[in-house]
Amino acid sequence: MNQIKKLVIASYTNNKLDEVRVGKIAKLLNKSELREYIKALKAFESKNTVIVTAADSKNKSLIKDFSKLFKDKKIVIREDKSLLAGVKIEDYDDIYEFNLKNKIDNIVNFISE
Amino acid sequence: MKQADEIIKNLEKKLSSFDQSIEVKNTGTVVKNTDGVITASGLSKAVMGEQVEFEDGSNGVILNLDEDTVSIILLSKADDIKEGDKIKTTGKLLSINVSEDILGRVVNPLGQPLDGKTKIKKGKDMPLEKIAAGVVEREPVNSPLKTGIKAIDAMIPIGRGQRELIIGDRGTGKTAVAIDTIINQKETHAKGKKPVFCVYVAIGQKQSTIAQVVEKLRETGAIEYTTVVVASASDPAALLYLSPYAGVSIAEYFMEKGQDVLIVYDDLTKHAWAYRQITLVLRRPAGREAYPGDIFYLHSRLLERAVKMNKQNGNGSITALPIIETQANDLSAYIPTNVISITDGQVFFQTDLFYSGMRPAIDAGNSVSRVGGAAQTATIKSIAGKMRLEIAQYNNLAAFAQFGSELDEATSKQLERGKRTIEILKQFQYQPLSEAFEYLSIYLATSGNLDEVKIENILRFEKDYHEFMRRKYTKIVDELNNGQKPTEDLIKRIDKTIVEFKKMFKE
Repeated sequence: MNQIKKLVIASYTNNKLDEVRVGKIAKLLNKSELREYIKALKAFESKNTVIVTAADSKNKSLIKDFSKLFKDKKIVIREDKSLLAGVKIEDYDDIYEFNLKNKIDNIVNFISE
Repeated sequence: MKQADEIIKNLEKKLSSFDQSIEVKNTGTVVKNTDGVITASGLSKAVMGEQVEFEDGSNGVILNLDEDTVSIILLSKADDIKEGDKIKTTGKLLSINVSEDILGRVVNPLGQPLDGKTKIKKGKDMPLEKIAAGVVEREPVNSPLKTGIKAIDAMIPIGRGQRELIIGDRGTGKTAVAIDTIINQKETHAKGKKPVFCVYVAIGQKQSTIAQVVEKLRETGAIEYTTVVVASASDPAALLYLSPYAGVSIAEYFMEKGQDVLIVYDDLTKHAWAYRQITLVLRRPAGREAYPGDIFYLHSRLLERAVKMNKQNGNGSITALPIIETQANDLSAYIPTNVISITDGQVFFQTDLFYSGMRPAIDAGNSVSRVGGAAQTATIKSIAGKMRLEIAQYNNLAAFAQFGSELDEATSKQLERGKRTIEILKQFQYQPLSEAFEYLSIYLATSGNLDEVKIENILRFEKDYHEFMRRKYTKIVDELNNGQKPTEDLIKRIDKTIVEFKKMFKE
C-alpha cells in the first residue's frame, strides 16, 4: 500500500499528473497492482481538488479568490441554482456550507424537532 | 391546548439558541459492506465511537480507525447500503434519550419504542459509553436489595450497588430468579420506602421469551417501575453489543437523581458472542475461543458502572445482576471465569438440583456474596447464620450417611433437621416473599418446629402458616418487617403462634 502511495507521488511533476511517468509506472504493474494504483491516483486527485459549487458561477474572480485560500489545490467551479445564494465548498472529505439553502433546511429541521 | 403566544414564545426561545455558525461536515464514501460492517474512505476527522449518518438516514457507529479507512457498525439492517454511498459524521457520541417516560416501556438500545406506544418524551441524552464513577464518589455497599427468595436473602444476600452474577446451565431458573427480584421491588414503591427502579436488558433472546417476560412483568404490575431494553436474536450484532450499555445508561439517569436502580443483563454470554462476531468481521486479532483481546474489558467496564454513590453525590445506586449461561455446569470456561472475577459474588444454579426438585436450584457451596453480608438486615442476619451452619453440617453428615452404617440418634436427628431446612428453602416461581415471611419460614426449620412434619408436607405447612399469620398476626409480621433483630419477647410470641397453628394443621 505504501509502495503504491510512493508511486502516486512520483507520478506528479510540478503538482501536475505527468502522463509519461504514469505510462512508465503502469507498464511495470500487474493487474491488481494497476487497479490499486488507479484507485490511489483518484483518491490523490480528489484530495488535491476543491469543488466550489455556487448559486451564480459567472463571477470570474471566484477561481482567483479560492486559489488564494486553497494554495496548491485545483479549483473546480460548479453552478447549482438551488443553493439560492452563497457557496458550498467540498475540500476532499470536508464540506463547508455557506449557502442560503442549507440555512433554511437547518431552520426547518430545528423547528420540526 | 397551548395558547398561540406561548407557542410563539417557545419558538423564539428555540431560535435564540439556534446555532448560526457555519456548518462544516466531514464526509466519507462507502468502500465495502461486509456483514453489517461498513468500510469507508474519507471521514478523516471522525472519532472513535462517533455516530455517523448514511444517505438513506440509517445510522452507524465508528469502531475502527485505520490509516485510510474507518470501520462502521450498522445500527439497522444493512441491505440498502451500497458501495459509493455518502456518509457524514454527526459530531455526537452514541447516546440514548432518557426521561421518566421510559419507565414501563419496552425500547431498543437506541431508545426507540418497541411496544407500539408513542415516542419517549425528550429528556436527557445519556451517553452509552461512560467512565464509571471513581473511588471518591462511592461508598461501600450498606443497604440490602431484597430478592424475596429465601435462599438468596439468607445465604447470599445482595446489597444495593453490588454486582452479583447469576450463573448456570440453560433452563435452570436463572431468568426466573432475576424476574422474581424485579417483582419483589414492588414493595419498595410503598410510601416511606426508597424505591428501586428496574431495567431488564434482553440480549439475543427469542422474541417469544421476551414477550413472556414482559407479560409477566405487566401481570404483576412490575412493569410500572421497569424499563425493558430489547435486542433480540434477530437484531444486528451491533444492537446486541450496545444493549447492555444502553441499559446501564438508562439506569444512570435515575441513579444521578439519587434513586436506586436494579439492572439485569440477560445474558452476557450472548453479548460476548455478538462482540466476537463484530470483532471477527472487523478483522481484529482473535484470541482464546476466537474472542478478541479486549473481551474482559468489554464486561469489566460495563459492570464497573454498578455503583453505590456516597451522600455528597446523591446517594443513588445501581445494582447489577448479570446472567451467564454455562455449558455442562462448567464454571471454568473463558467468559464465566472472566465475569466471576469481575463481580462481587455469584449465585450458581445446578442442573442436578433443578431436576431433583430443588427450586430455585441454588448450589449453596459454589455460591457466594462478597459484600452483601454487610447489607443484610438484622432480622435475617439473626437467623441466617444458624441455618447456614445446619446446612453445612447436613452436607457433611449426608456424605457419611451414604455408606449405610448405623447412625446414632443425634446424627439422624441432625440429618432430618438438615433435610427439612433444605426443603424449606424451596420456593415457587413468581412468589417472592417479604422479609417477615422469609424469617418465619427459616425460623420454622431452625427452631425444630418442622422436625415432626413429614418432608412432603413442609411446603404446604409453610404456605398455610404464612396465610395464618397474614390473617391473624399482622402485628408480628409488621414487627418482623422493620429490619430490627427480633426481641426475645417477639420470638416467644412467634413460638406461641406456631404451637397454635400446629394444632390446626392436618398432615
